[in-house]
Amino acid sequence: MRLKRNLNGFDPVTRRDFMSGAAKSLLGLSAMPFMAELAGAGETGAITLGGATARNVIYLYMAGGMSHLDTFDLKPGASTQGPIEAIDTRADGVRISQHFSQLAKHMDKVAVINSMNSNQGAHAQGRYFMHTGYQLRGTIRHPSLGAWLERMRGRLNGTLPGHVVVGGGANMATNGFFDASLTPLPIGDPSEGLTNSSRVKHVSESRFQDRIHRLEKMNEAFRGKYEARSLKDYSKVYEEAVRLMDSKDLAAFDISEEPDEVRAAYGDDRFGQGCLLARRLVERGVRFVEVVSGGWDTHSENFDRMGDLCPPIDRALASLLSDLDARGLLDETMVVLTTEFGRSPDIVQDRNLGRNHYPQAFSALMAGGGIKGGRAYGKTDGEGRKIIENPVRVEDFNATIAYALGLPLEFKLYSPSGRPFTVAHDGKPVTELF
Amino acid sequence: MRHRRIARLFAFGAPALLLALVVWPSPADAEPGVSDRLHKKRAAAKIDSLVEAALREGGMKANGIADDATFARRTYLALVGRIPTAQEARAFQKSTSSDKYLDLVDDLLASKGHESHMYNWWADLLRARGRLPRRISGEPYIHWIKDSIAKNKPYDAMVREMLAAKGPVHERGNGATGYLMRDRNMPEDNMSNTIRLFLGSRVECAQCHNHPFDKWTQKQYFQMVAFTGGISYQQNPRQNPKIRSLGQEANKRWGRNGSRALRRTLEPSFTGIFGSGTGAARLPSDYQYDDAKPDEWVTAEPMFNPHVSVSIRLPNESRIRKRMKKNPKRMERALRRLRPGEVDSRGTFADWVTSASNDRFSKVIANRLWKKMFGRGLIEPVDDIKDRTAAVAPELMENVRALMVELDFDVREFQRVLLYSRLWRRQAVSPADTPGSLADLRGPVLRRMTAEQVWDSLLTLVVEDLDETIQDPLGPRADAVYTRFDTMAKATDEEILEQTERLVLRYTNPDEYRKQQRAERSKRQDDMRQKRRDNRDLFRALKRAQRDGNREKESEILKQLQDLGVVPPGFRAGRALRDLQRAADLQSPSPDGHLLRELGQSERELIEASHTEPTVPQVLALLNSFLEQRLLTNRNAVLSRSLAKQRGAKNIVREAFTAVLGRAPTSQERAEWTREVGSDGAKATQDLVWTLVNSHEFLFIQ
Repeated sequence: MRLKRNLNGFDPVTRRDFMSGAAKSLLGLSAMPFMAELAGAGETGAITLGGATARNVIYLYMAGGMSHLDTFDLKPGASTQGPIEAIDTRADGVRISQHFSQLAKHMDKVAVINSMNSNQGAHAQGRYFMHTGYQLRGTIRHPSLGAWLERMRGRLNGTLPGHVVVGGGANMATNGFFDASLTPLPIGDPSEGLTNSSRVKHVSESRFQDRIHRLEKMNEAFRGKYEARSLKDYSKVYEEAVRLMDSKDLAAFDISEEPDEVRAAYGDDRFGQGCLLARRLVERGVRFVEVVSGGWDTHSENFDRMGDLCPPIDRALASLLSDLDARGLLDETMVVLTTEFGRSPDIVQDRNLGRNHYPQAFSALMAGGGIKGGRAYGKTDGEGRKIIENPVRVEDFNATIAYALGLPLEFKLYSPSGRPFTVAHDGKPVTELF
Repeated sequence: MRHRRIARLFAFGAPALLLALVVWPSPADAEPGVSDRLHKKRAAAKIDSLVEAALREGGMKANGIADDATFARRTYLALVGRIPTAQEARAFQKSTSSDKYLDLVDDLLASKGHESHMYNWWADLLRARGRLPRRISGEPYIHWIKDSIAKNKPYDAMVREMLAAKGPVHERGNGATGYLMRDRNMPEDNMSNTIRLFLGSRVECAQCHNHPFDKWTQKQYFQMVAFTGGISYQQNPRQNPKIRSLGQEANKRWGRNGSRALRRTLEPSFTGIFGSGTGAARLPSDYQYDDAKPDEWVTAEPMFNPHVSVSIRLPNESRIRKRMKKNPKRMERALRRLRPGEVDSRGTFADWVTSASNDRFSKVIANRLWKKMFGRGLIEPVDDIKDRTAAVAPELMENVRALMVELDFDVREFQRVLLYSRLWRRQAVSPADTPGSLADLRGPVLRRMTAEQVWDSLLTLVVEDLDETIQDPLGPRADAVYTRFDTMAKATDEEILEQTERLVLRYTNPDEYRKQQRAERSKRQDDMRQKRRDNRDLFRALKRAQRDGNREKESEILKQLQDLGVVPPGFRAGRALRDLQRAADLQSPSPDGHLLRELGQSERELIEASHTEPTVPQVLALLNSFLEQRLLTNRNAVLSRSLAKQRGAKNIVREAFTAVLGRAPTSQERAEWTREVGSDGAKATQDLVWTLVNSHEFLFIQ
């Protein structure tokens, strides 16, 4: 019954995907044929679940654990606060760190969540949990949100990758137990774009095709010898790479096409340029783009380092929000900023004023894609220690994103070993945010 | 020269072996004696009988024996981390000696290539990074790892050195401090990493609460952390009068920026691992269980056998409490400053972890090396072992664990035994869907090469005598760090203050400082360019020597240039050559976007974070970049040269298959490609090499 209810909101293509996808996952077969079909359908095949408010996600990840007390949950006057001061923003009653003066002008679009809560206090575990909604275990790899979105909804642009990660590292976005074709496309340096995506000059198209043809013949023989998933995965990614080389939309990766003043506004650093790339990709139908900012693990010199870490985020996020807004993309694009955990309200004196890991309470942002901005949701106590109002667990946070995207929260997909999993684990969406 | 030697050895059979030994003496431990070999063969036979018994019991049969080409390729990749050259592959296949399988294993184990390959494995486990936060270099750590491999330091000794390491991290001889330095200011995380790495358990959950899926309590966790209690990552300036007096002087001359600049100047010199361990740790302030109180001191206590005990010396708090009764804030501060006395609990911990009677310690390394060789561990995953965890073949697991102890943790000998086994010679199996299945024991498991194996194999096709270029454990980067440290140690107060003064500008006028830095850099470059112009003839001679492959001459000229100060130590002429070094000699890890990273080299931030998954950028790099630039259109590449020498399409095809895949083409492949190459020589040859290198057969190890 549940299956039926969940599927009612979907158009025929998607419904078939779910059926065949579930069946194929059980059988360990691929879901590629459907993907190809969807690619042909393009925009016209677009599918929305009733109530879905967002089509895309730009997911900004502060790796290392962003201090909530020094960014979006300040406690002026408290002994836990330290030297960073709060400033007013365009949203009444929402005050943020002095380092976010540009973002302050756009806080009417942003909902601050000050009651985030995780149960993972180490980096690898925390990142993994935040990205997948499941705990890091030695026995299985869970897919992250972008992979779920692509798996359940397919691509809007059949030749571009379904989701992209700019910067990052281990235990971040992953296809998990899903097919390798759902691996996020990693981009190292956004200014370089997607390197090696065109043929070398002296190899003509027909010669290249010829090579690919011979290669496939060799690989087919090798695959006949071994029944291994890793081999099939390789073949698929080769196909995917070749398809991408032919894509008309490859230019999306080239941010040098943007006017200098736009590039400057986003900030001349990897994070800023990554946000600009994210906007270009979303415009062309890449539905999930993650941009990672590193260095937030401020065990020592927390306050000095905030002065270095925050301004690039301030610049980039302010530009991204106003840019998306001006292009009419903000309504359908959810911008999320999050991290693996907060930092301890207690300031560590003997490490040049550092803060330690603190998963009990931290902050995150959501904007666009149907989110009602200009307010803070959830509350911590006077020292930023305990959540005293509307706690949001990591699973709930992910469920909120999935809900906005119109993904069915209870729909189960199966790992190769036959274990059932859902997009946001057991999370409940925070519908008050919309 | 080494692989040529091996090639010759096979070509001429046994008499040449003796000759070869006379002409090119090997390191003392290179060739095991006859009785030693017999001993290892017996140990290997025991493994085989246990494997086969386990399979029989599960109603399965082991695979048949693989052909020589597959064996050679697999063994080169497993031991020296690269494919065999065409000569090496041919020589092995031609040899008729019945001992050739064991001989190959012995020869490769004794080679420099093996050290280079093992470094990559260790670097992934030990998170070896050349650059650590806050201007600390990881090069001494890398040097120490390489040196330990070169000396074949027993595994237990290596781990003991890391866990008990002390001293300034940049000082010569202190490389082992790098292990603890990786988790600077995070002794708790370091403890989790230590337990995961060396004891195979995941206890990090217990850092914040009792472990939900295992038996560990949070208190037990902190009792483990207590072993490293009192560790500090900087020499206390209070204990170093020189730093103190200089600090006052800098402050007097330039104010607060002076002390900052001084700290920046001196910090790398007094950063390291200090304190032998107090054996005590405080529970967190939010401790929530009934078995202890928040903030309570706990004493170091091992999480399982064998038992050791530590007696701690807690500070006397009552005196402070009494004296500062009236000022609770001051009292709180004073209490926080109190440190328990040092009792060398880190040494005790290191002994406990590495004790031969600590079964976990030997089990984990034996299992890791099993996995390294055969593709899947006998216990999977290798680092989440619980009481109820059973190995896929328990008797076999116990046997190899005991073997590790019997071999005194000699990692090289352990590998020798595994590779002497019949199992190693069997045809590869496709990996079972779930790791830790009996089916994986039917033969070595098919797997993609590691990133470093792919890189080093590609280089085998490009660089002549690749393994000759392997650097000594002390590379130029580590050497430079030690030299800087020594210079600072010898510097007079005035010299230090001079350096400090230059740095003050960094705080008072950052733009001007950057401008000065740039100017200095370009002046240095100009000077260097001038020097090189002055020695133009030497550089020309160097190029000639390189072109002719005259290694002796080349190193002679390089030495001359080095002595003249024209090139830094470790310099290799030509940008291409500098980039084309074995993975272990490149920057560790390679920068973002480097082919090695695309192929899955670990960022070395987390334990074993390398991967062998396909990604689009990786495939694009293979399709369109590296091969074209470095191999196909590079006439100096080894493969291009050897293909150019071949007469007739048939020979070209055979040479290409042997060089890239280590085997001759099948008759169908030969017919097809010979036709192509025959009608359109150069172009078709390029297409052939491109196809072979991009094939799954190249990337995967059978």
